[in-house]
Amino acid sequence: MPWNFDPGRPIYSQLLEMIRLQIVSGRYAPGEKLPSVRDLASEAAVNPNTMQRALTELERTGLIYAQRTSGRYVTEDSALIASAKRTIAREKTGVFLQEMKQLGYGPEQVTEIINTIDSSENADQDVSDLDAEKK
Amino acid sequence: MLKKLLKRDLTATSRLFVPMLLVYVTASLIAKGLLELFISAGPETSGGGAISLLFILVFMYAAMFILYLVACILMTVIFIIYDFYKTMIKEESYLTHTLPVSSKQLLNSKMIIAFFWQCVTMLVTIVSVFMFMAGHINVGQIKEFFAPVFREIPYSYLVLSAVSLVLSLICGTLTFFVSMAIGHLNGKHPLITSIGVYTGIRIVMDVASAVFTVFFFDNKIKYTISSASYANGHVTANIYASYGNYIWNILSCLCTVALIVCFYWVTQYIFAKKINIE
Amino acid sequence: MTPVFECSHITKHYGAKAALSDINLTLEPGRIVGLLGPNGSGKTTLIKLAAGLLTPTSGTLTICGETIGPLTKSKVSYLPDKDYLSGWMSVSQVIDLFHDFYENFDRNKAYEMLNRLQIDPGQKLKTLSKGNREKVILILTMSRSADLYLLDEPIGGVDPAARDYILQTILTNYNENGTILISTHLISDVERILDEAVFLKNGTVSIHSAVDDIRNQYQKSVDELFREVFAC
Repeated sequence: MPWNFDPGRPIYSQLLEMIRLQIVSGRYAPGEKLPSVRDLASEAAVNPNTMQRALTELERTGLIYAQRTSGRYVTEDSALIASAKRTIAREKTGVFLQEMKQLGYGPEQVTEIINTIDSSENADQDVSDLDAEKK
Repeated sequence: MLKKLLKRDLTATSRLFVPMLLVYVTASLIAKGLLELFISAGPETSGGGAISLLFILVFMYAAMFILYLVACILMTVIFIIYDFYKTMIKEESYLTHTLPVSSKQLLNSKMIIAFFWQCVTMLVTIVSVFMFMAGHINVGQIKEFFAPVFREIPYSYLVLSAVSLVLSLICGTLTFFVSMAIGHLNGKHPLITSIGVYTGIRIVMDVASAVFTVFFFDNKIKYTISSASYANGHVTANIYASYGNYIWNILSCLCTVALIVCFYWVTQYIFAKKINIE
Repeated sequence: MTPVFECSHITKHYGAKAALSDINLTLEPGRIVGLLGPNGSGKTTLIKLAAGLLTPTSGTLTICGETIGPLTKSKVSYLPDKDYLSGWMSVSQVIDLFHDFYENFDRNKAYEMLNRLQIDPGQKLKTLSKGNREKVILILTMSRSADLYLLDEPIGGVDPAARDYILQTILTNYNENGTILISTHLISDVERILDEAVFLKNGTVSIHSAVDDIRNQYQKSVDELFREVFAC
């Protein structure tokens, strides 16, 4: 199945994000060899040139490196991967918190919601309790 | 490359010609069978007394057979035109004109295959005529019949006539091809334009040929059997032959060659430089 | 590097109507280019000029630096938007034909692809379904290692699953040093595989740009830009 993209944004940057996600989430282990450009492009159903561009950009971040004859590999630097993971998490959380702010929930209330969702089954009911408490 | 084109054109045209010829061969074998039957049945069925059913059936079959023979001659022309039109101008032209070959090669292949089938059809017809004669008229009698002809007319003239026949076949095929080539330039109505062009060319050619004949030819009759009789198993004929047309024949051949060269060049030029497949 | 496709002041008239007016377009090797425009904008005309089925009214067109002729035809693999093969031929006969005439045709690859689609090579073309016939023609086109692939509406009139298959086939089989020119009006399906887009409006080139540049510059997808440019 082809990967999903938002065609309104450059595809190469979306490819970069997706592969980066695959690396930090462990789908590609540190030091593991990545599939060839052609294979990745075929899997994603994109133009090999676009995939090539994405990979070149990813090389710049240091998360992958190229061995001239044998292809591309994930870095063995686990600290770098962990740091990238944290950065992504922070970005996504930041976006999430912005959205919650639009609903009127600050970070502390958000934390409470997270805890209640974690510990109970009936998430909806607890959230409305929270609203009642606020009033 | 040319061999591959020949292979392709031959396969495509065989689908049309082989059935036609097979039917002809079958029909002529049946005709031969009926002929033998008719002859062996004796004079009662061939004239004399009451007309028998056999006579009527054989006569009808003979008539249909002759019609089919004429149809074969027509079909030979139609099949060649149809194949050219389909592969050079209609849908299959998308394949033909994107093959890595020159338009000269395409045209050469078409011409060779057309000539091939014309020869095959003629050969089959001639063989069938000999088949009909077999057992009743032998080679010796034929030689006798034509002996005066060969006596009076120089060998070279007969060769010239054969050459003239071949040239006119080739020229005839090319006339169709060049008409279709010019016709296809009119993308909206290629077929009608082709027919129009062909008609125009033929009118001009025939008029020019008539004028040419009047001026260069003092005797239109090549040779004719002015009288013939059959008696005591011998055939005699008076042949009237004339040589006044020898020069005419050579000049006519040269004109045909000129037309062939001209039509060939125009056709290949149009498909090479002015192609318009819409 | 010689551009794989270069046309200079190309104009093509059909009678009084101009299908293409003063087209100047250069395509480099190794790119997948979309020739985008509504019906009647001249896409098929331009492609047929490159394939050698039409001659321009004026202007010059070269493929790998050569004028159109037998040499360029050996370098160009053309997929028309119509059925152009003899129906009485079997699939294997057509494959033999391509093998005979084109040096850069890979017979094994073609049979492999037919196998995967479970199309019996012994079948006559006229007995195949329309979808299968189109797939066979696509396989023939993509089994050639060409310098320029001309695909005229390869996914038009085809169901979504077949569209995915066709795009996948194109991506995995083309000669990477070659260029693919895809003419289509179904842009959203195709834009993810394009490097460049050429917008053809009323017979002239209105935009020719790398696709990611369009996304950066206009902040929208090629499909969205197309709808703007060609709004009725």
